[in-house]
Amino acid sequence: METARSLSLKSVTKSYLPGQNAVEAIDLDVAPGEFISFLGPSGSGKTTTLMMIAGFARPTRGEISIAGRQIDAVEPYDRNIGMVFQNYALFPHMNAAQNVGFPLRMRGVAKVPAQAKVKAALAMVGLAEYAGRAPAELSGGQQQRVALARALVFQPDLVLLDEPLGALDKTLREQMQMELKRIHRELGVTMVYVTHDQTEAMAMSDRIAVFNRGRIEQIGTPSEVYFTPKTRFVASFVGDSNLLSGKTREGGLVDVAGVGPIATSAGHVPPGKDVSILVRPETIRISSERAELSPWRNSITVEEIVNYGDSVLVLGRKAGQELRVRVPSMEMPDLRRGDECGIEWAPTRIHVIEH
Amino acid sequence: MSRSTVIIAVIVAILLAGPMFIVVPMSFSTAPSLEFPPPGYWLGYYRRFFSDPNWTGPVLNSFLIGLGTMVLAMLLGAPASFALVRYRFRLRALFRLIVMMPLIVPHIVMALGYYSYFGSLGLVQSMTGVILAHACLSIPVVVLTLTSALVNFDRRLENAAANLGARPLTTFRLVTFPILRPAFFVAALFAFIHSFDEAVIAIFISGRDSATLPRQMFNSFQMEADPAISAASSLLLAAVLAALGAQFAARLVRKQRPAHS
Amino acid sequence: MALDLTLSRSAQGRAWSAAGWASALIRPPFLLYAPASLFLAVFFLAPLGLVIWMSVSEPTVGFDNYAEFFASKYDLNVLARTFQTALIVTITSLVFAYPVAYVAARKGGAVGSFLLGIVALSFWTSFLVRTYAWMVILGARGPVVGLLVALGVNPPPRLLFTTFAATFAMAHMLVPFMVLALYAVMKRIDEVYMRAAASLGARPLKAFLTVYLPQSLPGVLNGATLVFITCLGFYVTPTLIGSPQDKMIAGRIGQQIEQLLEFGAASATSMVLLAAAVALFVIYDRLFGIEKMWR
Repeated sequence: METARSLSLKSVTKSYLPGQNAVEAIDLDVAPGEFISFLGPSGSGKTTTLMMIAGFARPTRGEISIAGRQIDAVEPYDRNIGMVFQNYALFPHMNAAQNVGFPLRMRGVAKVPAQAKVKAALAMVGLAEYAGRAPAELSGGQQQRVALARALVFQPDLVLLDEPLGALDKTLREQMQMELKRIHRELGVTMVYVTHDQTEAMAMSDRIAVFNRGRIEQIGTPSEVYFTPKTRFVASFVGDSNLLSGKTREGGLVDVAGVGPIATSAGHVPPGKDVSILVRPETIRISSERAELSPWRNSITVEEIVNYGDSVLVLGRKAGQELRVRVPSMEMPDLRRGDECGIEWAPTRIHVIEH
Repeated sequence: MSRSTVIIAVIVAILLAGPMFIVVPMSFSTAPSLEFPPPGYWLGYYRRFFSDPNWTGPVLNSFLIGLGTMVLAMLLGAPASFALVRYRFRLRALFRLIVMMPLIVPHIVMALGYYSYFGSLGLVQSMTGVILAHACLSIPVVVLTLTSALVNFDRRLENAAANLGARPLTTFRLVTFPILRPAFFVAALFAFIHSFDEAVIAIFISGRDSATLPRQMFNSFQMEADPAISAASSLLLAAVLAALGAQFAARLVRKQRPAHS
Repeated sequence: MALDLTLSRSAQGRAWSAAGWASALIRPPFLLYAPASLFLAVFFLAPLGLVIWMSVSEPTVGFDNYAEFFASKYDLNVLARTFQTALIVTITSLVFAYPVAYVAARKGGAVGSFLLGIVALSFWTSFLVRTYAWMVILGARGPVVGLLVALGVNPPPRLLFTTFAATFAMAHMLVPFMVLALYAVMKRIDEVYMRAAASLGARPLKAFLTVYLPQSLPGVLNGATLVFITCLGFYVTPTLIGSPQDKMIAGRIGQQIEQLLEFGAASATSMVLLAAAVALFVIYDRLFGIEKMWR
């Protein structure tokens, strides 16, 4: 076995203008073979970070190393990193095979083995028959696959993917997500995936790094990020959420103005602290009967009902506090706007974010 | 859109192009001066045009000057275009102004300037002088053409090439230039035509031995209207028609090539 | 010129100056713009500077040439006539060009290709060829005079070598410029605005006047500035078919150079023409930016 190939960023900072950091003090270690997503809104620094890894931007401070080798002085063309660009950046004057063969040509791979590799790479993405097509003659999804084959054909240490599925429609996107996962599994290559789509990040990643305003707010597995976010931003950016502000009491109770005490999983937080509590809409159960008030039961007035087919979103209100409840369609009680109904939650599912 | 608007536009267009074609019957005319309709037809003026060194010389000169201008303007204008589009340097605004200025200054003013300036350099009445002057006028044409192509060039393609292992010069050779080749071609063509068509500066500085075709035409209009000029005019018109026709045909061919699913 | 650029760049003490003088010289943008700067300085700015210099030094140092120009009724008439002609040419070519550009931009298809093809043909054909065509058409033995004689107008009016002939021919020659300037703007006007106007109850003419025309105005300004300035400095056509007595300013400069050998006076006249052209460009550049003009 060769040495572990992995990516490591140490307090990487990038500022384009003095005093304004586009990316600030990013610390990150990626294990070999890991699939990690950079998730965040536009302008959060995720693409800038990716560009620094690829070598198209230089960190103002900090270090980046790949497989233990410090690469800040290495030019992009010597980094041996595969990259799938936004909108693919396929060379328009070369056909699919020439595009995929380009990195091999740059590396002086002889013609015959290069042809075999190109063929195998195109076959891997299911485009064996499209070798002679120009990019303009391929559909968006096919171009995407060519770009992927091109980024993988030279067996790079690391593959960067910059919003690769952004331009595809929903069905195709989901299909490509599965295919990317399969390729990742088969090749075992380290992948860094930039996206602003939280469901995509959830579906594909081993770990997610959530970016906001140039910083990583949290790094964790999809379920860590989803169920135990460290900040309000992570809680609201990843998934649908009810974020309520309150003050802690004894025994994991949190007082929320107008709602009353709510039982949570945070027994360890000392009383008297201002906190936010996160209640995921799908963790709330709903019934048509009004519930008696308790720390794990309450009642709300239904303001709007939105049917998504597989689930129903109930927008309710309790004394000025809006609450979102998501119910599987099969379990939806008979409710109408204006009805009062009972809700119930499991205290262990309620996460407390300390300020 | 109403039918009458379309008809008006078509009529204007016909009035626009129609009058030019009067040079064609004139070129076959037997009349020694500007007489229309022609009293008779023959090919004599074409024979004259192709055999008289007063015409063949200028045609050759115009081609040589046009080619020289094209090469010089491309060598200077192409790097300038890259500098303007891709770099923010001090005095960039001034540089842009200087590059564009030849389009602003009326040619007659420059003709006067070159007449005196090249006189003191010993370049007046020489082909070199005309090439140098025309190169100045063609640089902005080249720069306008190339910068508009460069602005639209997706630099991610260069990033992609670098990412895949191509060094800067290789990237330029294999990616940047091939994609911009049509723009380079058009820029070079424009530079050539700009020189080939330029009359005013050529009239004042090209002299007899390095006379260009426009100068020769201008002089012959002013002097005695050598009827071979109608042959020259017809040939120039035919050249433009042929070039546009070729372009149109090329577009048709491209359209008809079957598009893939 | 080029050396100055380097000095001021390295004097800034930016990041690269730490690496020293040599690396400041070989920074990519310098290598890219220095050759063109140097070339234009020697073969464009210098001759232009010479004209400025001659205007205040030939035959004696001072502003006599300018004083004479502005004291000469003849020269002031030339200047006024030039502006007047340029204005007429601009308006005339706009009136003819607008419908062509409008139909080409909105209709497309075969009609659009036909119109653009004609415009391109006219655009790319040498001014000299087109001037020659007008010499034949307006000539004493040309078709127009022939027609007039046949209609009984005798003696026929003189058409060639008049200001009318030059104005008419210049307008005709500059229509393609105007069409291209208009078309460049018009093809970017989304068809959806006219549909929206119609859906909101605007009849076609009203929709055109209130929705389309205002959006096409940048093209009108582009074209008008371009045509006006071209016309100010037009030499060939007015000289060949205009009135020899009623010259335009470029023709006057040519006469001062070739026939009168008054280089100082020619230079001063040139500076007046240049000042007019530059003033228009500066106004235009302030408003829109120079590069847009040729797009």
